[in-house]
Amino acid sequence: MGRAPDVQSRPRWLSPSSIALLYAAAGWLWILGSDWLTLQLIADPGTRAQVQTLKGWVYVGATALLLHLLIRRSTRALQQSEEYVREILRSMAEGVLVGTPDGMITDLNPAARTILGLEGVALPIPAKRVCGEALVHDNGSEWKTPLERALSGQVVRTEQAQWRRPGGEVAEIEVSAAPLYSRGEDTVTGGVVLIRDVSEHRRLARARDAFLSDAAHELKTPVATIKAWVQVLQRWTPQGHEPREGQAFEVLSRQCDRVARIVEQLLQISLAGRAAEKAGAPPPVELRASLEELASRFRLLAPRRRIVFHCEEPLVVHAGRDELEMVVSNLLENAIKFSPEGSTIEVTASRAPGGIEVSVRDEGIGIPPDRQEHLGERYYKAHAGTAQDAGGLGVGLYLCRELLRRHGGHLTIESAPGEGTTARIHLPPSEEARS
Amino acid sequence: MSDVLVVDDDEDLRTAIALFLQQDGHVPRTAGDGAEALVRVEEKMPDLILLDMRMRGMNGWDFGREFRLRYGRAAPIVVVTAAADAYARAQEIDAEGWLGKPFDLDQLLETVVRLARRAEAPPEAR
Repeated sequence: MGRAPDVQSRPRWLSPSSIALLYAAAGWLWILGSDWLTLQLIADPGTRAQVQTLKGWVYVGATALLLHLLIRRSTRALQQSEEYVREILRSMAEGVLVGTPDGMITDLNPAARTILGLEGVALPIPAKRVCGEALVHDNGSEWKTPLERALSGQVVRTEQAQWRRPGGEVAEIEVSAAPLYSRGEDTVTGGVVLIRDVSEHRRLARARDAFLSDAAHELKTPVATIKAWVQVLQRWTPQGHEPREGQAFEVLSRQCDRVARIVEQLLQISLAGRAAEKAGAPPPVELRASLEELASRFRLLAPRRRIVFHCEEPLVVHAGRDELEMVVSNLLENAIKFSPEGSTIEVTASRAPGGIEVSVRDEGIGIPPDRQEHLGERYYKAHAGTAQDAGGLGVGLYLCRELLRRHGGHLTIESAPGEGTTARIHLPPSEEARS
Repeated sequence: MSDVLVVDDDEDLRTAIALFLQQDGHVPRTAGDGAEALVRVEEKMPDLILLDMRMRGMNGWDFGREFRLRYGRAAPIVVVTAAADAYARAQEIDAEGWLGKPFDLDQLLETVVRLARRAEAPPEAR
């Protein structure tokens, strides 16, 4: 194991420059002192010349010895420092590879070799072989490799990718990359790429999502049964046999809905996890009819809010219908949760410059500016711990973002406390509309 | 008034649905899995089939395929599922409608009224 270079432990005056200064001062004193002594002690000019020559040789010898010591010490420090860095790279669990602008990988640590399946391949390796076609971005889009982007001066932060090892096995990896500059210059002299094998992590996440999904499915049927029986009972005896029975039905029904919502959110967590895994283009969906139906469903669920829907023309998008409905449902649920009874919730779908836009606007309590930046983070609840906390698991907006990202869309949220919130879904136009 | 076949392997749920439909004047029949549902259909073609997908025995997918094969679109099928992607499940067997579990029984009634087969209703009633 290499040691950390012990630069810090040495006294400051022992640095190469202070040694050189000391040497210059000592040399100057030596020349002056020895000249004066020679003048005083040796009268014969011939003998004095011989002594002066001898003195010169001693000076040259001492200088050479000192230079030798200084260079040896510096070289050893450099070697130590390089060994130290190499040792860090060797023992890292993350793979590190360094590329040059001419497209060659000049260095990669053992972890990178293991992750990429490049054991025993001699350096340098053409970057195309390492970061070329084999490295496919997880949404399958045309994509410059992280190294290419680093070489063009970009910093790449934690992206998911898949890597096909020479044996055909596919590893799931996380990649970051950064350009390398030579000291004090603006030109990129190389790029460093950091890779992490997350196959195992992803496998466990998939197992967790599958478990959540199964558990939610299993819970849904008994909840549906209890809810159905409560409704049957309510129908039989709307007020109950006793005055308090009617109230009991109400409570049962309300709590059933609450359990149903939690179960739904558990299912959504699992879906959010799987959203990134799905591939392939979904079939086209006509948005107007689908949203109109959704709006009427919500009018039934929230009779005390005025839910209005505007859409001028049929709009076709390529996105899973269930997933889109889930996104809009989540936004509508939030709008209902955080707006007063009697207020209006407006759902609008229209063509927009970059594709299609669906907005959900409410007249609710809004979100404080300092909490807006965290919206959409998994398990984040903007109103957690406040009087407005309406429960839930904090996955709704996270799911929305994940599902939209999968379809090349995104979500923006504008909100002013006390005035309301507008959530906007931006979707790319359908293939037909583009061609 | 419609003849509705409720197919679900959860007896408690199908009984509740049947009771609710009965309260509203419909004539429900029940089946515990796809195979039993096919027998009920054989006895009499219902006006609408409420179909659970994940069932022990013959599941909803197999029933849907078999029903379409034998009777085509003789009765509309409404998929009742706990899956998050109810619409996609309904598409898989080309169903006419879908409901996600847990559902509101009023929502169920509305779906029944909207989709139930009317062919056998007397002409003057329409």
